[in-house]
Amino acid sequence: MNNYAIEIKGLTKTYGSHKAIDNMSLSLEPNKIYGLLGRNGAGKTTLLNILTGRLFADAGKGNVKVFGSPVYENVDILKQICYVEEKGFYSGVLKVSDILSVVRGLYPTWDMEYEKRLLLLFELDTRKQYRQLSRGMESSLGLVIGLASRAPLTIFDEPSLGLDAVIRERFYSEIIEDFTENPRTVIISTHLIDEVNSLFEEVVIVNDGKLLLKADCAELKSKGFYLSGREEAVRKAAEGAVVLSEERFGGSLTLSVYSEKEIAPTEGAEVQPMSLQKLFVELINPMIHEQLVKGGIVK
Amino acid sequence: MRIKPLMKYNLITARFAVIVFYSCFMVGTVISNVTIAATSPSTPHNTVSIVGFLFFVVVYNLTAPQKSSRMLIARSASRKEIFVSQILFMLPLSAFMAVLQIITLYAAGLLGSTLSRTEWTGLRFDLQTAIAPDMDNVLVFFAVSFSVFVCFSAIGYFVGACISRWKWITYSVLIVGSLVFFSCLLIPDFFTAVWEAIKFMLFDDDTAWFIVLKQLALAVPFVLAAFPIIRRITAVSSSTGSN
Amino acid sequence: MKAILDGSKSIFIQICEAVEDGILTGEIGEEQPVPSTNQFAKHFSINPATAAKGVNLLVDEGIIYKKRGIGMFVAAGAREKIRRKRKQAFIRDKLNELLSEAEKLDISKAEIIEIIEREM
Repeated sequence: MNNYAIEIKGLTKTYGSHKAIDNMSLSLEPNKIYGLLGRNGAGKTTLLNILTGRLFADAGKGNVKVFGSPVYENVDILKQICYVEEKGFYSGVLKVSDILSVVRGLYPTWDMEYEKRLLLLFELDTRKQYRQLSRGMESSLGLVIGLASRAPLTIFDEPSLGLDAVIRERFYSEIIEDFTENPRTVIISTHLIDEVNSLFEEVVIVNDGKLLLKADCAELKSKGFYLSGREEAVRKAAEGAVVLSEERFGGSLTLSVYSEKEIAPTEGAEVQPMSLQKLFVELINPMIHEQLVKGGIVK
Repeated sequence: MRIKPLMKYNLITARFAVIVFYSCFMVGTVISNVTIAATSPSTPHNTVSIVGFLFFVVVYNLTAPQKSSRMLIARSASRKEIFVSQILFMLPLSAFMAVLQIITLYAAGLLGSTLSRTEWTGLRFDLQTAIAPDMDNVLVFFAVSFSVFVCFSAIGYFVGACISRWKWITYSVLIVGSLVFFSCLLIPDFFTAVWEAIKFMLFDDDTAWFIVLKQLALAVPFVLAAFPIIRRITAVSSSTGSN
Repeated sequence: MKAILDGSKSIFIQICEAVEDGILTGEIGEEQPVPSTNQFAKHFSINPATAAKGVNLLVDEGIIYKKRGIGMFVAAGAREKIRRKRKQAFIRDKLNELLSEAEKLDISKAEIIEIIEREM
């Protein structure tokens, strides 16, 4: 008996002839912060929707378990899941305080004192009606709900939409602060990869409805390098590494490479670390997909 | 089951609807009743306002399974919890509307008779003769209104559940169905049959308590039929999904 | 201790270096406590597991050690150990870089020695 927080086997979801999720299997361990990365339309939101019982997988295609049990109509599991989506479905006339008073009752782990602190931290006026909230304030409401619920599985889908830099930074330090005190399984889906990735313990990359990669975030990040300098020196330094892309500028060559081992700078070849966002862009490049699969880097 | 927070959500969403509806409706009813009473004192005129209240409960329950359910599923409520809370909520809402209706009718009637300087006969004049002999009793009147509201709520809820699951199919069926229905009303036999059915449901020669019984009996199958539909609704904006 | 992270290196390497710098400059004395993994995580807003990786590197090198239930402390002789390690790295990286840059610029050996003697 393994204790995965989330276990997905052979999940498929089709819309007409389009496969939003294509035979995906994925297991996530409890009490880690995961980053869910993927382009728009890669299947992130569909995956999260199925995971939380909002949407159904194709009949007979997919076994999804959260904390060891199926989610569908399972109140014991459902109340441990807080999924903060890009867009809430609240009725526009409701005040923020009304919304919170209802949501509070749905999660047994909700912390009322913490909610009060978060409202101040994210500068949310509870007297405002939902329809009067700006995009940023709507996101802030989501952050308050996601954090204050302290749900054992907390999911944020694009949490930083419309938030200014100050509030985003507050969110990042707050989630780590609270996570260290109250560990729980967190999934953050985002496009702001470089800004958020220091929060992640692992990253899950989905592409075209398939799982491309699941890896330790800091380790993955330390595997991407830029090598630049004289061609022969650069080529030599890149030996044993997988070349993701190359670019010539003036007389010099710059290679983006994926290397299991640290690459030391040599005479004529400079080495620079690659940001996770750049590495992500390289790894989902369909042109080198075959090569990456052969190299065992992606699935 | 987490019924309490879900009932709370139903209550706060209904609160706005009730306030908006009632503030418009109360004014309208009073004005129209006063005008009618002033011009032709002997005409029964309260039935118009009953239709208004019916309209409210139907519309409220049509939208409840669509809007609220999506929000509640998104906040980790199970379909069963949502169903139970919404069905349970029909009872206090119908009761409250029945009370509001009585208050409105009495207020409008009293005001009307005062203004037209006629003697007010209570509800007897309008309802006792038309619906059932014991309709002049406030308790009976309340029970009948309540049961009719519950019945219409149940039907509205069932249709709302269908819409939230199969939006366009339900709309097509409703439109085609009502076209066929209204065309068929031109056939005299069909019209008579429909009228008999309505009479059977809403009028009684002996006592209004039978009306209550018939209304509640009709509500039950609609409620039961809505459950399997609600169990399979999703929380995504359209059934073909967004990403 | 360095209190800000940048994007130049892996976060856990930077954590490692921050502690080492603290020990080298004497900010954290030997047998003194080192911030916990969670304190690092909170201070830098990074995942505690990543912070733990940096701290564990130092434990593996014998620079800090864990006292069960109490926390982590700088090992005796840690300062010397770091100094030796850094010295090797200095010669390997910085001096080599200096020499190859000097070669590009046609700076002679004598000239370099002269500059160093004047500056130091």
